[in-house]
Amino acid sequence: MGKARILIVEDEAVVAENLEMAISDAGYDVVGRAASADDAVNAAIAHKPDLILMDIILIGDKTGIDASYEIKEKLDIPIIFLTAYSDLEFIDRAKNTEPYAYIVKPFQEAQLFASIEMALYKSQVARKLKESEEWFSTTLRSIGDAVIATDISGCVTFTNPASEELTGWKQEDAVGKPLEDIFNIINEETGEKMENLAEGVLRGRALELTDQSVLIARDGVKVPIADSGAPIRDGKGDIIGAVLVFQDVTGHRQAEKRIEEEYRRAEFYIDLMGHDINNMSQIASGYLDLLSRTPGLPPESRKYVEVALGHVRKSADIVSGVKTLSEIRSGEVELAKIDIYPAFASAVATVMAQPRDVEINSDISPGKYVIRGNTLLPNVFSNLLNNAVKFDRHDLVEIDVDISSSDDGRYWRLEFKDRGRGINGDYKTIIFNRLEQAGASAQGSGLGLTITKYIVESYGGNIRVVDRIEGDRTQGSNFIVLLPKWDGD
Amino acid sequence: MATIFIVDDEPMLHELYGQILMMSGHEIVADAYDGDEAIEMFKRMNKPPAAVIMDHRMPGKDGIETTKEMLKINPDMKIIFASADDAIRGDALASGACDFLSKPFPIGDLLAEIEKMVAA
Repeated sequence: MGKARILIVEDEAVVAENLEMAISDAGYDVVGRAASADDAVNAAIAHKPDLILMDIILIGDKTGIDASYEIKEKLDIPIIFLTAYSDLEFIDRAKNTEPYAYIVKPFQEAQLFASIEMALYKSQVARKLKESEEWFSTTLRSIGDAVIATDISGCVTFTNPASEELTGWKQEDAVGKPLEDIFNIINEETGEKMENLAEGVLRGRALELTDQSVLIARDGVKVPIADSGAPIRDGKGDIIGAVLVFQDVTGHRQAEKRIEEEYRRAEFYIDLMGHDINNMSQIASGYLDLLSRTPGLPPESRKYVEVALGHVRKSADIVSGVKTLSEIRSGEVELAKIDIYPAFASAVATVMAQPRDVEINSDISPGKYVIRGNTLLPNVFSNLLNNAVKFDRHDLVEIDVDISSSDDGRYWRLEFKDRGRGINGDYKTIIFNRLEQAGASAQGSGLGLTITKYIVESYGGNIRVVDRIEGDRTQGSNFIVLLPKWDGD
Repeated sequence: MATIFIVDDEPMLHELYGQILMMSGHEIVADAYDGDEAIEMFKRMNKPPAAVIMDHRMPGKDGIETTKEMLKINPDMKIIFASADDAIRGDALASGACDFLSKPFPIGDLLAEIEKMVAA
């Protein structure tokens, strides 16, 4: 603080003169002198001094106490009374203007300066405190979240405008009432009132509301809310109250409900369409089957029937693939401890059942490779092995399946290496993203790799493909699958 | 030669199963198009069929409920599920069906099932 600026209010000119000299000598800046109450108020407004030394008896009808009242109403300036009157009546009246000191003349200069210094310091502290209170209060009043604070007994001490709007309780009506009266919460589903909210928070527990919390406003309107609460602690860490912060989540809940509805609708379509397509496929494939058994059917016609039959069966595969995808998406299939071997062996069996010469070299053995997965795991292996067979035109299809621990030790790393026709640069990612890249999927109607990717990712693993021999795609592909090792008991 | 009772709400499937089974020398003794009708017909039969081919998703009673009721009436009844709802396979077998064919299945599978039943 620089030189403190002081206003002197004193009706006796000689006394005022002496006082000004003494104060100036002590290093303060006297900004003015007033001899009447009105002059004092005007000077205070004009100069905005840091401190006022106020005599009580002044020229005119009004006293220094009257002037102090007026100044206090308009400005926040510390006042020290300097007066010859020590009557209790004066002191009482002066007290109400909250002066920083009351000094009875005659006084010693040292006593005056000490009082001036104290008053300046205290007023500075008070101003800072008031500023920070204002700052916090403005912040709380400005934020969009509703805020309610309570004291240690759970009675409301503060509500902000957002809270007033949601609860319908104005701060002046809410203060002093038990929290439950203002913050009336029920469970939307059960209709049960949630009681003693403040009590829990005051015991230091974090407030936990279900996502079905509904606030009943003062006028009975129900508003879905999301909420959090925390105890308020003093400097020593003792709980002195609770604060609740909450928001209107009407829009959010509606959106959630809409998503859920859409999801159910999609499930319904998949189910209905899948069922009916399978029924129709049964009729079509059944009659084609019968046709193929007709004695004397020309070989050419038999071939056509076989092709048609194969594609009807494929439509069933697509239906089952889509169902699998929706199962993975809905998270219906829980993750558990799974041994890779049986899943791999069953996939190998289905591949070996095809009318092709296939050789699968692998050292996957039982009980050794355990992951976090589920019953969909065989789909991963059969999809990869079937693709390897499908795109390999050699008389003998050779597939190597290597297994090792990933570098960080968290995954089992499987590599499916084929000698097929290989995969072109861009397609190395597109083939896994049938759903995202519907337009770009020129590679037939298979969902196999998309499903494979979804399954692997639902385990927390990943899959990618590289050239079996880097830079020469014609030598076939290497599908690298990382499956998270089982880390539980 | 076996006597077969077909329960399915899709008429074209009755026709198809009929063709397939007759071709192999079996006989269709009854056709029902929903669960209630199947139970009614089953109760009125003088002699139970050798096997029932049972759909699941039908108007009214579903295949599993119908199976349970039929087995209450005749615990030895051989019931083969032929359903497009692969997800109910476990429940169907648990309700007492002796096998489950997932639509679409090759007709050879159905014939094999019937042969197995006749042999047993």
